[in-house]
Formats: sequence, structure tokens, C-alpha cells
Amino acid sequence: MGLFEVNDEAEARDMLHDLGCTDGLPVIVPIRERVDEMLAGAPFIAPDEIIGVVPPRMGRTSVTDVAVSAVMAGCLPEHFAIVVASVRAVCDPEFALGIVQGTTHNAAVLTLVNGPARLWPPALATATGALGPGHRPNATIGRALRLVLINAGGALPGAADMSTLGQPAKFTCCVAEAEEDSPWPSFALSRGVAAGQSAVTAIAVEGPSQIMFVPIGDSVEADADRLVELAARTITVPGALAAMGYSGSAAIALCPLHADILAAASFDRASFSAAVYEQAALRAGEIRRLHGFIRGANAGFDDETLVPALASPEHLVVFVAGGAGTYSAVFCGLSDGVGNAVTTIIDQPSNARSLLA
Amino acid sequence: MGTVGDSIAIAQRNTPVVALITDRFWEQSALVSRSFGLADLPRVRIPYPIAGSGIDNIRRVADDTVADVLRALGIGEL
Repeated sequence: MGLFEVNDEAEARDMLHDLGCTDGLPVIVPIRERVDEMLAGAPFIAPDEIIGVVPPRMGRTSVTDVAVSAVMAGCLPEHFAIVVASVRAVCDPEFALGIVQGTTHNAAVLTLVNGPARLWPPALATATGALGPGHRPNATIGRALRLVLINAGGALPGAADMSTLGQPAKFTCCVAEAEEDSPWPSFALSRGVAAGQSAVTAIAVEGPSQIMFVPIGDSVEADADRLVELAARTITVPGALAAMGYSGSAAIALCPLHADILAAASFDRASFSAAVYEQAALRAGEIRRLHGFIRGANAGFDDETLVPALASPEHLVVFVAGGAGTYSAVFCGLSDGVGNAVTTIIDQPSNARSLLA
Repeated sequence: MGTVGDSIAIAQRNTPVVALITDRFWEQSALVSRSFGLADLPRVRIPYPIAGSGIDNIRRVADDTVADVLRALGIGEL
């Protein structure tokens, strides 16, 4: 990104939009002082380090380039390291970002933050309305990632982002796990991240569908089994890409009440994922009736064979978030090998604890 | 992205290839092929939509396109 001279801030904002550098919403103009301030938020990350190559434009993106997008998004310097880690995650070749960026699917990128970085003040939202408006850290971290995808990757609608409809989560979709309200160790720990380290997990997703479930209380096992089936059937909505034969990934945001119901019935994250995986399947005949044929590697299945929506239990990202109430949410993902979860460590200063003081 | 990506992978194996691109995706395919350093990737434009347009239409498009494909491959008329 080059340097431009303009008369005032308003002209600069308009120019950035006209150049195709925004998501359509007004941005904070990334003047040098603001970019330097953003970089100072994570002095332990070298400004000239190349974070990744962002397809399809294949822009080599440095930490400073990421800082420019973070300023434009309204991000606070305190959260810059989380943005950098988010960019690292999607640029991991395993994420297949080129396909995620260019597909006609409505793929957005959900980023899940775990560990102490969630609490760097001002803390990320984990509870009531955590996926909705009003939480500056969540909103701006997710938006900063989107602006990197636009500016380094060229992902403007109709140019490189060919999503038929797009979706609101393409503006921003960042949440932190409610680790303190979860009956289980954090999601990041399940991915091999060490305790005390912070991490971001990125996964390409469709928009969220709610799971409304009020426990009956006849038995903890029966309530938990109902919840497992509801989650599985919400993943197998027959119009979703993964459910029509591609067998890919998904994410589930469990509200604390639902997570507690599962834990009371002795489910942990792994056994819940395994149970959902077993039940998240449509009969091949049902897919053929609705779609005419089955795509992907499952094309040859006979009509009675169950076609899994998930490639494996490990393709399901299960985390706890949200406030009081009886609503969880499912995010259907893409196919196996495209936009599946990638977890990266958030660089943090050696004195991270002092930031929490 | 998929069509162009596959075509580039084939070209990088020194195998002749032509990417068939519907007109709605023409600009994106140019961007992607440029980004991968293969701006001259042979591409032939076909009408959108192809998916679900029926076997008769696909035969018609094939008939209308085959000469362009041969030209893109440097073969010329058969």
C-alpha cells in the first residue's frame, strides 16, 4: 500500500473507498502515526516480517500491512497481536484461502480467540451477544482480518470474491471462548496449545443457525442426547455444502447452559464431537432426491448409505460462548480441505501477566 | 479459482491446457492467472450459466467453442 496526499480526512476516506480498499463502511484513515501506534501495540512482532501471501492477488503481507488494515478497521493496538495471528491462520496453506476467497459459496471466516489474550484490556466479549454488535474488540479484530483479505488478497465482490450472495459475517466474525463459563478445558488446549498460551482458530463458515433447546429435566442423559441430535440435525441442513456430500467441517458455539447439560451427562468436547459426527449424516437417497446427484467422494453410495456431513469428529470446532439463555449456534463449514480449522499461536510479550493487572 | 487453479497446476506439469471460463468469471480468472505468474494461461470464454443448462445447450456451447479451444492450444483447425 502506498502513501497518498489528500486535503482532509473525509477526502481520504472517500479515496480509500474509491480505490476498493474498504468493506463499504467508513474506515479510520491509516496515517503513518496511527500505523506506528498500532505496531507499538505489539512491539514483540517485527514490523517487516512477512505474515503470509494472501490469494488470489497473492499479496505478500507484512506486519506493517496488517497494521494498516487494523487501523482502518478501528482496531485498538492492544489487540493487534490477535489480528496478526488471525492473518497467519488463514494464510496457512492448509486453510486453502484461495478457494475460500474466490468461491461462489458464502464463506466467511470465523475466528475464535483462546487464552490470556482474550482478557487483554479491553477484553473480548465472550458472553451475552458475543457474536453480535456492541463489542469493539470482537468487531474490529474480525473486520481487520476482512480488510487484509480485501487489500492484500483483492477479495472485492465481483473481482476476486465471487460469492453469489455473500453474507453479513463477511464484515466481521470474531469471538472469544467463555473459558471461565465452560465445563471443559479450552478449545485451544484440545488443539495442542499449551496452557497459558493464547491462540486464534480460523474456520470458514456459513452463517450461524440457532439451536434452541430447553432441558426437560427428565434425566441428564436424555437432555444431553436431545442436544446432540439437535446439533447434528442442524449441521445436516440439506442445503449446506458439507451436508450434500462434500463431508467437511463445522463449528458449534455452545451456550454455557447447554455445555453444562452435556458435561453433566459426562460428555467432554471429544465425545460430544464424536457423537455429533455419528449422527450428522443424510441418507444418500435423500441427497439424490434433493440435489439430483451426490457430489464429492461419496458419489457412489447406495441410497440407504448415510453420507456424513463432517469429514471426521476433529472437523468439528466446539467452543463455549454466550450469556444466559437456551440458544447455541451451528456454523456449517465447507468441504474437507477447504477452510477447515487452523489454529495459530498469538505472539505475546513475556510480561503478558502485567497487561492483565 | 478452482478451474484456473487446476489449469495452472496442469500447465506447471508442462501439459497443454485450456481453461474454460464462463463470462461472469472472466475477470476473476484473469486476476488469478496473473497472480500465479501465468498471465498467458490459455483461456476460452463460454456463456454463463453452464451448470444445469441441459445437455443440448452444453453440446451447442461445445460446438461453438471447439475452434477457440484448438486455437488456444495452437493447433488451429482440424
